[in-house]
Amino acid sequence: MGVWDQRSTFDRQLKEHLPRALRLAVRLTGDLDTAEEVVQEAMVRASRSWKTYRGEAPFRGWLYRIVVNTFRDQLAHGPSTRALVDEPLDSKGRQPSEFAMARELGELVAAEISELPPRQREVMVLSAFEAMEAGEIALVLRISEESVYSNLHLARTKLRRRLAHYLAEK
Amino acid sequence: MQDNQQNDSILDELLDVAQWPEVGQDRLGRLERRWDQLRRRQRVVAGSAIAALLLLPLAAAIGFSTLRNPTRRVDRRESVQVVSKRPVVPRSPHVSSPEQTVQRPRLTEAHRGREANTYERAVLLLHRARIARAREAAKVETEDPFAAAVAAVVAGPEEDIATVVDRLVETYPNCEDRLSALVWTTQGSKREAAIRLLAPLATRRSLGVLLECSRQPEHPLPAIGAVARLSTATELAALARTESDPNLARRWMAALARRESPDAIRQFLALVEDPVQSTMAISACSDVSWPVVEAWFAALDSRRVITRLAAARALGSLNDPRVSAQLARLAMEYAGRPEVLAGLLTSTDEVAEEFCRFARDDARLWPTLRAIDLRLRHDGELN
Repeated sequence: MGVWDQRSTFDRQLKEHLPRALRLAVRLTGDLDTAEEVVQEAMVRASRSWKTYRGEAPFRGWLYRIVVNTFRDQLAHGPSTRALVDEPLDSKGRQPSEFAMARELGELVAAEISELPPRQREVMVLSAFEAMEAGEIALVLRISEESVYSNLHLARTKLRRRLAHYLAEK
Repeated sequence: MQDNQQNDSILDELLDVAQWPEVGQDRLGRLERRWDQLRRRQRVVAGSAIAALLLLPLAAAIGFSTLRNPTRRVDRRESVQVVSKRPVVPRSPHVSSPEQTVQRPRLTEAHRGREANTYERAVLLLHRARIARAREAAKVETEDPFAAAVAAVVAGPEEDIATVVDRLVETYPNCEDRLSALVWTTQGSKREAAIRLLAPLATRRSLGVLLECSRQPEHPLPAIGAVARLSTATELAALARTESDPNLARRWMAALARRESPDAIRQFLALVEDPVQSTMAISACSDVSWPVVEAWFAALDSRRVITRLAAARALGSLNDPRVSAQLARLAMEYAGRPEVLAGLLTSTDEVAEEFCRFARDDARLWPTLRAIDLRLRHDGELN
């Protein structure tokens, strides 16, 4: 395959995976505008290093790694992302069932996930929403499988605590 | 143990309903265009590198031949010279001066009856290439597509602006920079046209120029729209707080109020909370989408009283019967939450007015309603 063929194949694959990459970034940042910035920066990085992709590993994992790295860099250098709810859930207000009726429960859960510490958030999003196995997640995040499991456990424990009101209600 | 397992399964159910903001097609389209631009730019850079590699052997050959034949280096200095000069004319007021023509130094391929050597030919070729480039640049200047696009927009609505912009973006990857430059260098209607072309495709790189344009009274609208689109919620809030022109400040607030992101919701409610900005922020609440309204309803459950009051006042200012009906339902369920009543009191739609009439006759609601009414009148927020 010539360089131009490789280039066009790569372009096609990237465009195919762009919606997924943006969705991943939204889940990590909790905010559409920040997510778009992350994906734009990730695209710049992908365009610089597209020759390093040899087609042996799944493209999705390769692209996700770049998106996650960009997200981490943005966390390190930029202002932290903020999710919809900046306070713990308030038991004095409306009851959980009312929130659910108001179609807000989904957003609240999403906001709680996007408020997790970065590493736990990455593992939780890749595991629960991208349906990736622990091995794949370990490759994307460049950590050990044991670390994947421990972060997932911590994330779930934290979510259980923060969503305790709703768990009890359900 | 069993409890934990049950909690786990319920947590999984909750995770299933997690709902982030929807990724719109416009964002995806923008990202795809950005990717195409990046790739085009890479191709240009790669092409330049290949051209440089091809020219390298030629330059090496020239250098080598010059080094091998030192006598020719002497010839070179003799052969590359000015062959005609401006005539020397005595300057006297009594003698009419002949037409003074400036003749530029001219290079010849042959000198003193011999062929030019390699170096001389290379210098000659370089000189001709330079002239050709200058002619090409002059030609491009006269047929500048950006100037033509601006002229088309100035001339009238023969062509949709979006079509002109799409054509420029497809043909010229760096058209944003060219249009920014045009905004700086043109005046009047041409400048306005350049802003209208720049506004839809501008990225944050052009934020400075657009902000500058938005402050000029003659052509603010497209620039304001673009700044509102490109700025973050924090930047919009800062613009609203620091803007000296009240109309422009209200526009920034309205743009912020229409944003659905959590950060924008928080920033806007902070403006409503601020006693200095409150009245203007309330007056900027219009044309907000339903997700924003839902977020304001969610803010009614904030732990901070001031935030709850700000959300209720923002909701009341919409004067929307659907919103007032929901506020009335909350007021009834929670026996007259003060902030909810404040929202209903400031609303002027028929549902809110009917509820207030009803509340005045209700023993449970009346005391709180009366207290809120007095407080709002004292603060000048109710006439």
